[in-house]
Amino acid sequence: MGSLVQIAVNGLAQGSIYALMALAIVVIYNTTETFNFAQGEFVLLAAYVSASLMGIMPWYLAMLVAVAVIALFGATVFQRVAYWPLRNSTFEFVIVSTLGVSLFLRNMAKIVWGAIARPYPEYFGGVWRVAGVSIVKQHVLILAMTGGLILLFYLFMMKTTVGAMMRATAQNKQAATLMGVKVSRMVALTYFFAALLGSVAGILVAPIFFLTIDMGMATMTKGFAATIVGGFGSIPGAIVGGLLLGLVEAFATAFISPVYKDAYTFVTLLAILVFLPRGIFGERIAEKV
Amino acid sequence: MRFMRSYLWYLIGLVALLVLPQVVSSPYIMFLLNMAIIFVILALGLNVVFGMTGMLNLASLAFSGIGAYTSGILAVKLGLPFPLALIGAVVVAMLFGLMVGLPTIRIGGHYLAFMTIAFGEIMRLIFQNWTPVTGGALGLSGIKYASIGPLVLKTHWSYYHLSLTLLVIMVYVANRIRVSKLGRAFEAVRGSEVAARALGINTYYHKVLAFVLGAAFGGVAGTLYAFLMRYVDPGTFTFEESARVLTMVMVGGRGSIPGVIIGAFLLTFLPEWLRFLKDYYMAMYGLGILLIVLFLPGGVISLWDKVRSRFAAGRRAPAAQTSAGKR
Repeated sequence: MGSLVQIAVNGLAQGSIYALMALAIVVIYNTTETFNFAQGEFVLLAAYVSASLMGIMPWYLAMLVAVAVIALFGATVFQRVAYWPLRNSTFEFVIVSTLGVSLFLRNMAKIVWGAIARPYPEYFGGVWRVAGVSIVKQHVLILAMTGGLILLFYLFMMKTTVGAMMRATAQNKQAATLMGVKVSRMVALTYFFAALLGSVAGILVAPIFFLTIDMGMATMTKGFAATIVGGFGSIPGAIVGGLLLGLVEAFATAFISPVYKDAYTFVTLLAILVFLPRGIFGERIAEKV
Repeated sequence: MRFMRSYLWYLIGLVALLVLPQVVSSPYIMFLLNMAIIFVILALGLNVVFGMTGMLNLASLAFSGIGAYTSGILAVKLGLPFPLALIGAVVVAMLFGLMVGLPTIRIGGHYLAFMTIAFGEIMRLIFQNWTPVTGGALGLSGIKYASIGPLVLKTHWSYYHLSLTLLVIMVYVANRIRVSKLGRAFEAVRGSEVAARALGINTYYHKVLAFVLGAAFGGVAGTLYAFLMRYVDPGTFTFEESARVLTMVMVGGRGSIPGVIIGAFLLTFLPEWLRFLKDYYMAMYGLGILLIVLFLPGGVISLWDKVRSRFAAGRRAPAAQTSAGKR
């Protein structure tokens, strides 16, 4: 029983990271109708930048600065270069431009920080023992941070005027413009959120894994899988899909075999594609014309 | 005359590709030339699916992986020669194309792009984990040199002639598709599905057909790859490589067959040309892709159109406008 709780916490923590990535993918899709294939690079940059900053300031400050810098970078330079000039083209152009930026950023990171995997400082290390169950503190932090972030995001989208403006932009850009919404600002805000979610995922996941140049790409692929499982374009779907993938991975690793960790994602994906082709929260797909 | 003119550039290109091995002395460059041809075939396949019909397939490498493993297994376990392995690989790749295409294309649109990412990941994991058949993480080894009749192709030079022959066939096929009734139907579907349906085109049938044809190109490319390397590594068939094929199509010029050929050659050799930048070469490669998409949305081939229309404008009347417009 105790070990079951332990596995569940483990899986939910891992799933939270996938959920954050999936959420970022969906938020960008809803506003801009394209994908950002450099999403994984926000994870990578936040992890490396914060690790470097920890040499000169306390860990919490280093993280805060890293997340703030990456989120601002996403909202300004990144979005202006990779998305804005192509906003009137079809969505494949943005895919290719973000792929180009992703290659650029990843290889610049390789030059700056080196290609060798290295450990991330364990800022919140240790284990809690509650009634015979040992729970890794970092996992609890991941759950709390993800939950808090998603709640804040929800409140912002649903309860504030700017949130309503963002939803309006996602629904119909032209009508939103006519209502006085400045679309360029909404796009900047969207990328701000995407970069924020990505960089928070980066600093949360870094202590569990080593820092590697490919960590962004690997996390992003899982994020895509989560959006498909949860239902394409759906925000609750992204969260549920991410958590589900994390749980499946954790339980299958514990009870079947740890060798095929990535294959469990695939079995889940296959089952979802066969039985629920539109995902768990999938709506009827109606393309915007 | 019209025939001559439309094929003139292909003939010039072919002559250049025939002369090239005579001047190349490094086996590595020959290997890259073979790889470039494989990528051209892959890009031509994506061009049928995406360039002509407008469906974004982000799993090109999954189909070439299916082709590579099928031909590899046929060659290693059944001892089939290259031509039979090739046919087997193309048939299996097309069957997979049909299997994936039938359910997903009905949903369509951007969702299809997501589904192909999922399919690509699924295939990659199958290649990696189905050890009894694919050799698992160690890969599939023991593929003999490709041979056609008594001819055994042992060097990259001799293999190049096989690749080039298949390239010529595939370019011809791609061109036939494009100028036929089928190609016009594909392009009508890309333009507007509703309008295409109103004209009596069965859009679902044509989209599935385009997808299956695209898969066949993947099967050919995969077979060439398996016999070139004589080893199939599961780490080859990743999403990133599929994205690279998409980049080739976009950089070369979506929908244009000469453009796609140029794009595939360019992106295969660009990293080599940038090697003088040392550590920075991959970063600059990424930056180059970004710049081309931003400033040359019609791809490299649109440069040619611009030059030609300027030339025509100078010769005829100043009123003539550039024909290379934004799509």
